[in-house]
Amino acid sequence: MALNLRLFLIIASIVLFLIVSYNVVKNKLLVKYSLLWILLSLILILLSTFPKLSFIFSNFLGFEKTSNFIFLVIMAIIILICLSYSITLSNMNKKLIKIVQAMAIEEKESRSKNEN
Amino acid sequence: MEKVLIIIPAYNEEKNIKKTIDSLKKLDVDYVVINDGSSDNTLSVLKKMDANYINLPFNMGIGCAVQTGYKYAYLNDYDIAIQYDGDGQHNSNYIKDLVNKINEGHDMVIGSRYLEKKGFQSSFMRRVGIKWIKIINKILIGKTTTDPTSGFRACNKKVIKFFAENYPYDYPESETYVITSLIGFDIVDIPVVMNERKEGKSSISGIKSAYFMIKVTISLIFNRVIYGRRK
Repeated sequence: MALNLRLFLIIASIVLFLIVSYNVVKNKLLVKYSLLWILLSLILILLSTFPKLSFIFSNFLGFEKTSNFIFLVIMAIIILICLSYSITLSNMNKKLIKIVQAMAIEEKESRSKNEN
Repeated sequence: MEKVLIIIPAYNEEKNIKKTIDSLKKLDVDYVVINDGSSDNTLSVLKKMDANYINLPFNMGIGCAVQTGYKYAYLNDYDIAIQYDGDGQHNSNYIKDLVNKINEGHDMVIGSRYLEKKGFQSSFMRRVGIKWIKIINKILIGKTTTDPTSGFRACNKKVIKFFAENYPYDYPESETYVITSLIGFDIVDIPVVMNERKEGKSSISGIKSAYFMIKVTISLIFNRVIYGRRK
């Protein structure tokens, strides 16, 4: 792999890692939601620094091209991140339902008390 | 004398809700309307007629609305809760029959329009959907109600407590039948006559019905897995 390309990939993956970390430090991203992103950026840093690793894995698994292997790894992690969103969203939805119901019943009861 | 609560979910029913509530006044029962974040004047109609209502701040869907009613019934220690649509489809003359059946010792009673096949029989698409749900029910739990999508049903204290804690949110009528059957509650159908909706559109129509059938099938299968294991 050409050296400039390697350098570019290393810098890009470090930037991704820094963006994720920055947001965690600034309290804009909760640690539990940052974990998969950190995993992704670390894997990218690892693969761009040691491209041989990806050749080894890709040959071992029988990929025709190393790039296909890398795409698959990235895509798999992104799919996991999306799935984790759906799970979080469902959780939020369940909590929202409970809050709305509790609030509405509370409001009804205080209204009935005022009338009496 | 047992305490009976009629739960009336209402979403954009400004034209029907007054008639629905008035039709209950001749009966010796309490009722509560759950206004599911209606965007029309349902809330002001309820306020004006000084109705007993709970107001959800925004539209949460039928399952959430009905469960709010069950939670209210549970908190206020009702013996029997009856779901009753706010759109005028249900006939209050049958409430007595539902209560009697519960008093005979059944846990849940479903008002079915297909047991005697009288009155409004619903649209063709809806009937196809119902037929499909019945087949799925038979496969999953080995039995079926004659009217799995009927929203006219009564349940006793045990089921009220169960629904206050667990209630499906999307297409709850068909799901609750499968869930309560798997839990082991005793469920029966009684014949009722339903009217055609007076105003407004049914919540299930058009392309939505295909989506409905796929979604209901998947949820029923999952319910079978989740509640089948608990036994």
